Amino acid sequence: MHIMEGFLPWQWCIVWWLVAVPFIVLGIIELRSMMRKDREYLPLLGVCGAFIFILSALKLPSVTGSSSHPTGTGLSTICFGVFITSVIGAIVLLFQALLLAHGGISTLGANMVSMAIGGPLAGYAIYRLLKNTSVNIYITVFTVTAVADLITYVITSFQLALAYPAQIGGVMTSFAAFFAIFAVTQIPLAIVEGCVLALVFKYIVQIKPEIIEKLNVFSHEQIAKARMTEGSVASSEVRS
Amino acid sequence: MLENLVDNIAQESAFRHINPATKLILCLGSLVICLVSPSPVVPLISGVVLSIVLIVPARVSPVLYGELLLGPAIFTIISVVVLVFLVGGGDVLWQFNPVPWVNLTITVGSLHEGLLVLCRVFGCSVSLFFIALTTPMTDLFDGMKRIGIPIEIIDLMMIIYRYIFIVYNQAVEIWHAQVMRLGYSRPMEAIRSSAMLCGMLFISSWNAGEDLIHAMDCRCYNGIIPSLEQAEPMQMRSLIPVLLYLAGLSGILLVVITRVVVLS
Repeated sequence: MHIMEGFLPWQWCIVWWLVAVPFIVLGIIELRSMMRKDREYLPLLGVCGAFIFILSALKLPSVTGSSSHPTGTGLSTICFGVFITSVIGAIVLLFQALLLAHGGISTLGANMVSMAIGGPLAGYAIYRLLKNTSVNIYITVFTVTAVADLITYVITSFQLALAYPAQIGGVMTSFAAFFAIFAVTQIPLAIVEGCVLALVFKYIVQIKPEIIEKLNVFSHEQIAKARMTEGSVASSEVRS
Repeated sequence: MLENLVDNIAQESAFRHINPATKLILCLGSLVICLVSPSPVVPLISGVVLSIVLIVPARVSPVLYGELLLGPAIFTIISVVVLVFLVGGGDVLWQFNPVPWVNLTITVGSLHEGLLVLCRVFGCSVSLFFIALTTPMTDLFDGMKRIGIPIEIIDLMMIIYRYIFIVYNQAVEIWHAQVMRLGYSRPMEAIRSSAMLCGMLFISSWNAGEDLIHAMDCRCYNGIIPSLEQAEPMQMRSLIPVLLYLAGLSGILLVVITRVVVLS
């Protein structure tokens, strides 16, 4: 769910565009240096971008009965970092606006700040915090995804509250009202998305662990440990 | 989802052959005018006029167009209702205190603000639909190159755009296979199936990316994907009506702004 075209006053559209632009510029610089090092990255990033677009267009089962869309940025944050994710996120958001009529051009800045910058930044912080600890890699993936998703909606509510502060209580009351509406679908969604992406990681570890090693997402030992635990679980299932 | 992809409609639009820059001028021009308007009148006029243009001369199916408008409409109406209760100003029209600490009030100012946002979303969304429903993405890539967007970004966008359809077809095939095997019958089963779908999609996308590199290498890929521009040159026949329309809309905006200034 993005802020749609025309919902924000023009002053706020400019402010959020100005906030988003430095991240996109840094992302482009990082992308260029990454491609100079290894030109194989462009097709891989392109295909991953398409994957994120499809993921964000898929309907996930939601506890509240309504179906919601995942943001898909958690996986990209873990794999490529914040700045590259912000570029991919910006392109995905533009395509969503032009191909699916979700979001818009004037609100693209605000949507970039929430979905392509804020969420990934929070997710990346959690990932760095948990990466070198003994925490299971699936729990790390779950936490990163769920936090990135939740922060995206916290920022969206904040953007709406800043643009339309309440008459009594100001920005904070407005923020509480908008977030309460989002929370009904977004908190269950964040948990479901976290579970789904943790399971996605399980399949990657089982079938193609070299992707995770190539991108240096987790160390070889951590992946080996995760594979070993799964191996023992699988063999105990066979025995029982 | 992608069944009613806007791009498919754009491919068949009667305005497809018009130079993309002309259409972009109309889209961005009316978008900016609708956005800065302090009155709901300007976006309402712009939205209605562009909708008629899209349905009649551009031959966009009215049913599909209606469905497209309905998407943002639901979110907008919920948000506008919240907005009407939150913001204030002016005389109180309606007040409701279900419990002592909750005070729901609608004022003249909040109603005006709600109406303005509703019309602005309508006007701006129709401006966006105008470019989306008449110009396929491939034409927009040429335009982006001309305005100086880095070539790496455009190449990345082209790859993403191409692979959206390939990944999507794969996702639909897996999804059908899962549904046939009752993969979404229970909530836990649905989560497991969704994860399996996404996991397999990611791995097969990655493999497709690796195959793409090899295919591009065979065609002497050196970091840039060259492409031919197919757009028609800008024609006065289409540019003059666009400029006249934007001038008219700006005129109405000026009248509205002077009236607002005089009244205040």
